[in-house]
Amino acid sequence: MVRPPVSTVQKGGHAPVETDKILMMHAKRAEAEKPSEAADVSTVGLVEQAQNGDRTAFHRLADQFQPRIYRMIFYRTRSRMDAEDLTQDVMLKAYKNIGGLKSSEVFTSWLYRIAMNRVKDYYRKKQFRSLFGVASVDEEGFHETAEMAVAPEVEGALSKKDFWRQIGRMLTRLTAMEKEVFLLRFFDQLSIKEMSAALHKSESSIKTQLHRALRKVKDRAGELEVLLEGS
Amino acid sequence: MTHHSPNVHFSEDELLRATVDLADLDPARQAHLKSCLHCQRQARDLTDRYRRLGQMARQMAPEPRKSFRVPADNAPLRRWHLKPVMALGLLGVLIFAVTLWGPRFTRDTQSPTPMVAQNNAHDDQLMDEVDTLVDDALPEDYQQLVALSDDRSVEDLDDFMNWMVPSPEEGGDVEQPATSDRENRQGPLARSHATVHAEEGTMA
Repeated sequence: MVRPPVSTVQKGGHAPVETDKILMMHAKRAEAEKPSEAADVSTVGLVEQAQNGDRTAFHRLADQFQPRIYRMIFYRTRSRMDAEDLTQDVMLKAYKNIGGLKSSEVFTSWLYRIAMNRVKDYYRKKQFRSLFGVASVDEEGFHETAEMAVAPEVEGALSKKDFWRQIGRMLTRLTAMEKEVFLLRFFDQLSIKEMSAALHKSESSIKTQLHRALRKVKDRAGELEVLLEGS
Repeated sequence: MTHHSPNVHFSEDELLRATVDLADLDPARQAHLKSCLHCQRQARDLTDRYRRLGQMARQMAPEPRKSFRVPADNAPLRRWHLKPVMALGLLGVLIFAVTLWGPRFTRDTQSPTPMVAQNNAHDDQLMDEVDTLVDDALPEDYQQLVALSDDRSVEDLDDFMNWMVPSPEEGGDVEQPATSDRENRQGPLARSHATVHAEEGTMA
């Protein structure tokens, strides 16, 4: 919907500018970044084909979603190897159960939900193993793998490591739910509606959690600025 | 909910709420945001900050090394795949139920026949009792009082009564025999009766 720009003189120090245009640009950019499922007709079509047993269609869906799911898992596990394994599990589980998906339009939320559950299982198992001293769970959930140290991007490895450490520190004060909604909204770029479907929570509850998370993160604005300046 | 003057700039909390969802602000504040460049810039900066953080995270995250491909031996679970499994399960449950409850069902189905037979036996016994009552209505204790001895019958009783109380017509029908014979034959009551008549005749 195109609205005419506001041209009247604003009072109280408000400049008579094309504010609507700015707001619309702002909204359009946000809309463009937001991966909207309903608008993505090709995804819906591919999901329907995959539901009918079309393996190629599912491979195309996997090509489209695998990087996103992989990153989503990596944000939460901070382990490349584990993220690889878990992503494979998530995609395989999605392939096996896609026939039971009632609406192809909620595919993204459904896939993220599978991934979140898989990550929960991962931490549950890890915690169980840590009881017997087989594995350790550090405070930030970050564990550097040997593979990271010898990765091709060895020069940038340190800054990446610092980045994730600072992110971990910044999110320390958040509860599990606040952390989840913060990551889903800004890192995974899900809309409020998609988050609501993925987390099985009401939209108002999601918004409340997100608001609390933002307030807590804002209190650590210094760390955030350091991070952003580093970019 | 706090209400602000349209000219008041956004508070930090309002800026955060605008970052979460602009539509959650009340219409007056939304109108203010539309008209206030300062607040727009602040809201945009805050949103951009988190967006940039997300972008940085994506840049800092590695890419998956290999694309996902479905293994050859994996097929999606269809609903109809579950049907044979469900049918087998149902069959197992049925077999188990029949094994567990079957004998009881069998017993239950056989039970009506003995019941009917038992009822019939009761009916027969009842009818026997009724017949017995019809034959001998008096209780057993009273029956001894009225019972005749084994060598006597009801006909003997009639003879006895005839002897005790002879019928008046019997004497007129036949010729009077000798007194002694008649007396003997007619019994003590008849004899005393005759004696009374004779005495009356003598006196007369």
